[in-house]
Amino acid sequence: MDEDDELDEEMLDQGEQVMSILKPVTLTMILVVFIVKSLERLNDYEGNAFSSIQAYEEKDTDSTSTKLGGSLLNAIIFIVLILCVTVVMLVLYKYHCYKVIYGWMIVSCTLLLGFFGGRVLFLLLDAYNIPFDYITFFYVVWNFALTGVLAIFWKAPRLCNQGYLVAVSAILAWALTELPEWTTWMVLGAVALYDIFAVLSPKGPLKALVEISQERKEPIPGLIYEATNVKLGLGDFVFYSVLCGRASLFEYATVATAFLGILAGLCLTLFLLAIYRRALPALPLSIALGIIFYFLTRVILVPFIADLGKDQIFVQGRRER
Amino acid sequence: SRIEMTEEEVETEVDSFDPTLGMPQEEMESVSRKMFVGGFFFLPWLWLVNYFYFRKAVRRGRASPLVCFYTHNSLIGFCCCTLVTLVWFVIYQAKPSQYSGIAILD
Repeated sequence: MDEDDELDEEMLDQGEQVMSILKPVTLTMILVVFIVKSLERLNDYEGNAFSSIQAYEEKDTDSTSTKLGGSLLNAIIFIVLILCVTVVMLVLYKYHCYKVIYGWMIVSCTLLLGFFGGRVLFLLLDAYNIPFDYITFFYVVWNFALTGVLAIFWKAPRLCNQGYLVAVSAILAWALTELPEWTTWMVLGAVALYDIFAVLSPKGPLKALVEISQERKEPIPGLIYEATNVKLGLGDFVFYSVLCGRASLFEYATVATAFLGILAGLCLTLFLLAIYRRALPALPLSIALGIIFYFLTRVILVPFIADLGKDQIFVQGRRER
Repeated sequence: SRIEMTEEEVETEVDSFDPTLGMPQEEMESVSRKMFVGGFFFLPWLWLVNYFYFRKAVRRGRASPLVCFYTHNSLIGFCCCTLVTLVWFVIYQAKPSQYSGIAILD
């Protein structure tokens, strides 16, 4: 096959590849937005799952500069934590400690699906006023968590495995939307920048991880969603969904635009992937577009729509004959 | 947090509708047995997974009689357990106040 034919075939496959990743990402985002909006109606819900690692506790009454500085500090702490964990993972992988790596991943997935998942279920039951008993509750959580861990790390039908990966991402993303507002945006920006460094820079831990795994011709250790030829780390699912979840706490319009921004960024990244054919950071482009669209929508579009609504002006498209 | 593409040099045998393609009989039997036994630990969802995992293989006749036995009975087990659970759920929902002792919400 000469080069032109090869490129044509790649372009055709591109559509399939993009869709196969877009669907689970969209599903995760929808799940998170649903959970976040459902739980908004709980009046006495003061969730802060990550309060222990925050140095600065955001309050509405603080000044802008305090919030900026404090949330930046929180974001830095977050990045340092992620960096430490990634380095530990790299060291474990380098010295062939597979049992420790998989053991750690299995335990954390079980805890996530069991405890966080159970908490989500409990809060949703509360929000929708559904009466429930302990027996059924623990039965459901027990089944959900254990079947999930087996589906992810052992054997299960493909759809089941992919469904549970989406569930894990959605639960973790919901937990992270409990972070206060300014901290969330700072963390998202910081994580996007960290991603560029970790994957592309020669000293990046993720780059080293990818190189070692390619040398050994093994899959990369970690939770990764695989569809056709494209692999996307679950961390990316999580942070895209955190962006959407946080956007949904303002208005549905911001969710729509942030979602489109993220999707556009993802398509762009997949396009670059086809060109450069190497591991690329999936966060920066999507997070950048998502954040830009969110703030533009919040500052310009929503007040515009609100004003139009007040004066009962409706904008309609014209139909071509 | 990285995204990458793999070079598919060898045509993979993985068919999303039959995950057991290319699996030797002993492995199929081992997996099916583990899933069947696991379901007895209050995990009927594992029985359902067992059924869906080996469904195509059984249908195409690629599964040994033992695997067919495990798969078939896993489905029966799942249906029975789910029926019991649903019946209890309906009873509870009809009058939650009667069972306030085991209620999870106040």
